[in-house]
Amino acid sequence: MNFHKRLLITLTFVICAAGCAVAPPSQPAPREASSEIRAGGKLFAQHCASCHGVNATGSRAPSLHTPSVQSMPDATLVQFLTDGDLPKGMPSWSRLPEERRWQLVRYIKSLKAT
Amino acid sequence: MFVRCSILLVLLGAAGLASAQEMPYFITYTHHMEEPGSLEVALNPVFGVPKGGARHFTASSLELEYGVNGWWTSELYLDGQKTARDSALYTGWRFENRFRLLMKEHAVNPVLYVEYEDITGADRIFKEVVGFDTFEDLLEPADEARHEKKREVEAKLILSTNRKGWNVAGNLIAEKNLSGEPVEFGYAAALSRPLALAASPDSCSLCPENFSLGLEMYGGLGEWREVRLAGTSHYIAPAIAWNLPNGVTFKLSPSFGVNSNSNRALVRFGVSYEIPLLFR
Repeated sequence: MNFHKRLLITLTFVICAAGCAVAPPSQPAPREASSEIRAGGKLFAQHCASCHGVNATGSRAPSLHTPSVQSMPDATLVQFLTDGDLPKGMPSWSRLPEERRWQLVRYIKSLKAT
Repeated sequence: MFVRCSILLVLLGAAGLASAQEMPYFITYTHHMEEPGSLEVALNPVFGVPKGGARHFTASSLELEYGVNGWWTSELYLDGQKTARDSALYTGWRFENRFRLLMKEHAVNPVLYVEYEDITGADRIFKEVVGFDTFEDLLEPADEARHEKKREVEAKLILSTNRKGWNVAGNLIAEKNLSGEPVEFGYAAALSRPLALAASPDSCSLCPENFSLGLEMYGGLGEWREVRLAGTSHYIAPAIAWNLPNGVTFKLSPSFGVNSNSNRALVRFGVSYEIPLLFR
């Protein structure tokens, strides 16, 4: 086996091992809810605040405190983040892993209390 | 130059938050577009280790990527290079547009890519490998190769999908030199995954969620009426990206030639910063 074949096999193994080392996707357990919301808040600040405002009260993009957003089922909101609304300027966030989209939704739904 | 630009980008990054979440790839495109109104500024140096007596070189491209809207991204590249014992050269520019064809996320997401480039034969960016590109192309001294004009149109079909944290993408490339040479074909394929799928509650720079590992493979597929692998060159490239919370991304990817026509290695670095909503 020449050097390049060995290199290819080794690299493939390393990449797969890195992928398998992480737990499979799952929704957060209730006891983890507060840390999920904090993580979602961090993601919101990084990815969403420039359009929706620092407090999600709306800026260039709509407020996320509105009843239409807060009454939306979580799974529907995750799907909306995945698809975006490209013709209207809302980008697709499918580049974020599904776990992070769920964290964002946890944070958005926590705004209801405020 | 690279160090100066890196420092500038890091300082820019300290100025505010932005939404960078870059893939580790340098060659392969995915269906992820630049966010509407955002401008990404990137510097991507390449250190080339050729063979057959060709001299080592350092090439670099300055990249300006702008999200025109949710389904259309435009990009301008300015290329330059420095070959050992030769003077530094500006080697041309490229302008590309990517159009996402489906407005929602699907199992496979197609994107159409169209590029016009006006470069010289001394360009060493290796943004793609097509046709029968081989290490022998680098044997011509840069001072002579710079006189060769290459005005080319390039199209790519980008197919990309996300599954369980993985991104898998494939690009089919067709490139036509407007001076009359036949259409050349190439490919790029890649997969990547963040080291952690969920975000941690606290802000951090070195946590696993900020790192992505990937693997790319790219090469030529011959040309019109001569689509074949014989005589083409191919590369394999592990890649890593480090997305900092302030919007700066660092990338590193050493490409290794996998057959006798390839160069020995092309080591790529990348530093980028995203400026959100610049023109909105």
